[in-house]
Amino acid sequence: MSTQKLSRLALLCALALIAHYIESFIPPLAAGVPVKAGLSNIFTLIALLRFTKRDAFLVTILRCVIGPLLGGAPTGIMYSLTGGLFSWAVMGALMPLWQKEKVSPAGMSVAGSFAFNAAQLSVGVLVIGAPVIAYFPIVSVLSIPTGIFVGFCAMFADKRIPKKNSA
Amino acid sequence: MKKGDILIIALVLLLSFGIFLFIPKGGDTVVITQNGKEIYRGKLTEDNDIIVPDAGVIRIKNGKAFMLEADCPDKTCINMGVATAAKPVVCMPNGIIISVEGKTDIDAVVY
Repeated sequence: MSTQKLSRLALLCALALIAHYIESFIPPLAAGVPVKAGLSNIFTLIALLRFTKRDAFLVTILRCVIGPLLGGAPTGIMYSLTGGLFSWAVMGALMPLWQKEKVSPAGMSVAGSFAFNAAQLSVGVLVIGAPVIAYFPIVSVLSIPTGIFVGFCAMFADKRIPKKNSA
Repeated sequence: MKKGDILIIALVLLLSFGIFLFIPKGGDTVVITQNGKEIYRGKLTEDNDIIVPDAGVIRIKNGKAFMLEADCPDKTCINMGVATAAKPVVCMPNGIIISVEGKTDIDAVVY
């Protein structure tokens, strides 16, 4: 990996961590529902759009491990890492469709956000217990607006960052 | 937005409502579990304060069960309000669930 690419991925990772940290000060979207907008996913998405699946994987792993250590409980790592990996896998799988212009980053992000939440709730079911599944409907419906928002953020960023700053 | 996006959104909506149908709707028994282990089971009508060491306090009062105090940083569980069968209160950092389970109609069996 070139030094240039290394520093660009590190920058994306740092931005994702800042977004994660800022997000911890924003109250939950719906009262009592453990859902966040997932702003740091903007940077995984940019990494996918601009670099490769493998590079996005690195950004995801790093942000999901370091994020919970910065703000929140260390037990959050298993939730964020599982969520992040599933979200990366789903968004990565949609990349060929994006290259063929069949889906936009907004759709990729909705699918990623849904995968993130579904994976996180599944960890919750395994660790805490079956009743966690009750949150599935509300959490997955909310992944539509949050996913679209995140997708548009990544799309605008992708348009404005000059192409020469890519891989 | 592209056609594929609409398809993804429709699929997510479908899955959400699909699971919604499987979620129980009513009950009268409070069950508290910590990391999958049951630590309390009682009627919703019996007022009680349950202290969970290093985690928090759960109050059952006037047929309502809720998290009164929690030592987690985010207090999401307190904001969740009253536990119902369809919406248990979950405290992720401490691994606690306050759930309401189905009516056990059988008080006694007579042969």
